[in-house]
Amino acid sequence: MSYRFLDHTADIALEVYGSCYEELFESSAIGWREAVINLSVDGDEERRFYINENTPEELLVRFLDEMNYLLYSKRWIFDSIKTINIIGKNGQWQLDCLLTGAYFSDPSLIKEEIKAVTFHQMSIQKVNNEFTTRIIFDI
Amino acid sequence: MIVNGVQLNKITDELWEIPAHGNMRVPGRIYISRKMIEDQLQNDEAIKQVINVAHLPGIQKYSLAMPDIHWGYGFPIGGVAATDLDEGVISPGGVGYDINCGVRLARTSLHSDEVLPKLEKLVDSLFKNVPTGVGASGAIKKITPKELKSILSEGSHWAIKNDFGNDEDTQFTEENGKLKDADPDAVSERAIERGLDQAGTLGSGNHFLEIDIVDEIYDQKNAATFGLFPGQIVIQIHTGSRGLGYQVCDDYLKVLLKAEEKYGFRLPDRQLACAPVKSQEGKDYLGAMQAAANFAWNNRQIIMHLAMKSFMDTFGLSQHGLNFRLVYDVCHNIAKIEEHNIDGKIKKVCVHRKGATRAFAPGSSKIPLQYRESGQPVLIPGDMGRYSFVLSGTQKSMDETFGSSCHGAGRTQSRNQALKSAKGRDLVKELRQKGIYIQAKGIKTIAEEMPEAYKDVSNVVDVMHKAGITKKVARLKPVGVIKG
Repeated sequence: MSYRFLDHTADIALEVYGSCYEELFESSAIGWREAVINLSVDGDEERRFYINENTPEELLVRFLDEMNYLLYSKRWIFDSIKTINIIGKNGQWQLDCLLTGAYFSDPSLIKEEIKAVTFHQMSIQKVNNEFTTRIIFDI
Repeated sequence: MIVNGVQLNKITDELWEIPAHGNMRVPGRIYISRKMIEDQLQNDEAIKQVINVAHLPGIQKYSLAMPDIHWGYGFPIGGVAATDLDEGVISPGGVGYDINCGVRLARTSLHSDEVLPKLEKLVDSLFKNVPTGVGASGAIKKITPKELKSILSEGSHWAIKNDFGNDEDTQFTEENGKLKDADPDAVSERAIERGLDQAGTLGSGNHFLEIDIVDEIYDQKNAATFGLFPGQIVIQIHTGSRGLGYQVCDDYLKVLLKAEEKYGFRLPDRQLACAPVKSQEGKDYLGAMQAAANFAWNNRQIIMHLAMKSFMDTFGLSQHGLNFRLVYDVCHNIAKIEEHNIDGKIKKVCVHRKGATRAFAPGSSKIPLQYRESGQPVLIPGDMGRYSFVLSGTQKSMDETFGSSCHGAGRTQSRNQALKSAKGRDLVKELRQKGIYIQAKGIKTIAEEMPEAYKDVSNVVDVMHKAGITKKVARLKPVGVIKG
């Protein structure tokens, strides 16, 4: 799993990598978490996502959107991704993911308010046997 | 000239055209100086976004961009496009995530001589009274989802009904502080959830509340009409629809992405997802977007009232004693149904302004009676170290840009670059030496938002002035700033 932050004039840009879609999505989630919060939790509360979309990029955006929603509306942050499965078949992409995490009460731990996960420059490609894409967060 | 691989033809010193080519339905037009093209546009994808916008079905006349053009999501920032109501589309990418991000300017009868000796006390009071920063809660009692839906319908009228201002304030707010076709039921539960504790909050990033001095007057007559005089203390508020607006945009981008297939549109950028204005999807987005816009006006109304209270407490004066009044409130991220002259006929169109400000001319029935001779005030914030501007709308704006002008200046440095430049420096002290007292949630915010991280807004304003789109009225110099 890996990611790196890119210099970006106005917003936050992340480049993520993974040997498979699951790793790519996990890298994205961890990179997103580093961008938004100064907190690591020892979470034991589980949350499950089932998401269906038409493309892997739309799936990734929805996945990170869910993280965003939980953070800003529920003050809940994930600690680890216990399981994640992504299937792309017949023009449909599905994600089934189980996270553990915890609630937090101090809003000052949030580093940035991400307005949205954008599609800008997002294109999941396989390069040298590794999946990669850019993700731009509008702040 | 060729800019970033794109042919750009000079029309005037301030106006350049991209000829229609490929699948562009109309030409592109950018208001910008040659120097700004060379210094900024050469390295910015935004010019290609002007071309992309020209692909929108039903787009009228030109895909426009103002001189603060820089790349955004879908439309460039500074982008303006009007689409036909019957054959054209509406696109969230032409509004932005921060629906009705905008600026409000209030004036007082105080002179800087009276305020500067108490500046720190005033700014500290503002920082205490106005909720700022990520996660800050509202300054109003906890509201229910039902009350929030009232805000989405009533805009700033809700704040006034709840004792955050006077009826007169709505007259001096664009659209009288309320878009009537707002549809709160088109706003998702998630968006409602995000907005529940954010009513009356300033937010973070480039949002701010600023105490300014009117330090230069360019147009005596219009300045007097707006109630501005040299040395006067005024207040600027820059904020938008917060998490509620972001969620509305996000929700509908996804709805309209799916709608594109249904309507057979092929746009060059996913962030330009759109639907016919009169389709169910288009109407739902318009209704939700207008609801979010109303939320933003309500926010700015509440914050202005809280600011006034800080002034009252600091100076021991009543609102009447301060002569604290709203000059005007403008949006710079919005899409609205307006009437414009298209090739000699008055036509209703859907005007998208993404990082662009309405700038209606003298005589327009849509602006307050008091401003019918001067034209609409246009508020252009700069960075916290230099200046902001008050302009006025002109007939040329109506003729050329669907009654639109610029909105501010973009960044020159990324946040990382700004943080690096700030290392080892005492920015609060540097600002203090310039006569500016700042309170912010963190030193990181001050570093990220430092003046040198932004372009000089006077260059932007000068292009619009020379092009005759808006006229300079006054310049404002910051002395007190609060940021999230």
